[in-house]
Amino acid sequence: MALSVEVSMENGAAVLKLVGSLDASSTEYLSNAISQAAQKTGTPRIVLSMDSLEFISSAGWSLLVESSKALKEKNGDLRLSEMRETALRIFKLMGLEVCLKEYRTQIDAVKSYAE
Amino acid sequence: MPNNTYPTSGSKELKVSADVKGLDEGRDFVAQSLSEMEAGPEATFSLTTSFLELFENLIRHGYGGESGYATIGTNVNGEAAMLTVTDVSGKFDILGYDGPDQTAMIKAGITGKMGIKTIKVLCDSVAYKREGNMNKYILKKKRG
Repeated sequence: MALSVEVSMENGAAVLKLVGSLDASSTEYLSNAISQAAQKTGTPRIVLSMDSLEFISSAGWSLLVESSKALKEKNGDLRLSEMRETALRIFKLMGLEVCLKEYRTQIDAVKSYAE
Repeated sequence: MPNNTYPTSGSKELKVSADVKGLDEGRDFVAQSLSEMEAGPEATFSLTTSFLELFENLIRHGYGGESGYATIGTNVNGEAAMLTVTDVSGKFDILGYDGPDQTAMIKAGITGKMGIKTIKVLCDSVAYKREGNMNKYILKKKRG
């Protein structure tokens, strides 16, 4: 159940599809994947597709918050999409909507960069 | 008398190193064993996520980067699914540790101390015991 990441491009945003579990054993891997995607695509606009993410721990949430903050400093962002209900419950419980934008669909998240 | 509502019960145990490799092995063990014992998707999610939070804290604060190990137990019986984690780090009740105000920390981009709150919300009961030189954490969730 280790994390795997598939990267694609959609309308100027890099979409990273996460499969498995995002926790302390995989944060470094995802951090590198986000950095590489931002470099390769020449854009710091990242969308995470999370419908196949089974588990996420606070180490994973911390990485997402830190990555978003770093990308915003480069006029980009990291936006979340297609979170499972279980993950969404924790997301709201922690009050993470203060610093992370979340969208129901991947298409909505990609479109949001054009707004 | 057999329990016809919940026909499956059982318990399993695994000893892992207190590091990210152990976290990886432990997470898969908890999720798989609870699923096999038919704990139910909600209980499996809640206890597996709680395991991640507990174990990440154990690595960081319990053992503080030093080598060590932990024993993970899963048990499903009647209406309850249970996770136990036992370690031999110094006396430290991770579950009783309250961190600083999270809202202010999240706004500042610092998300530490979220794990304990997550455990307490996801589980129906959480308990800590000091048994000899061992810390024992017992987390329960209603099956389903």
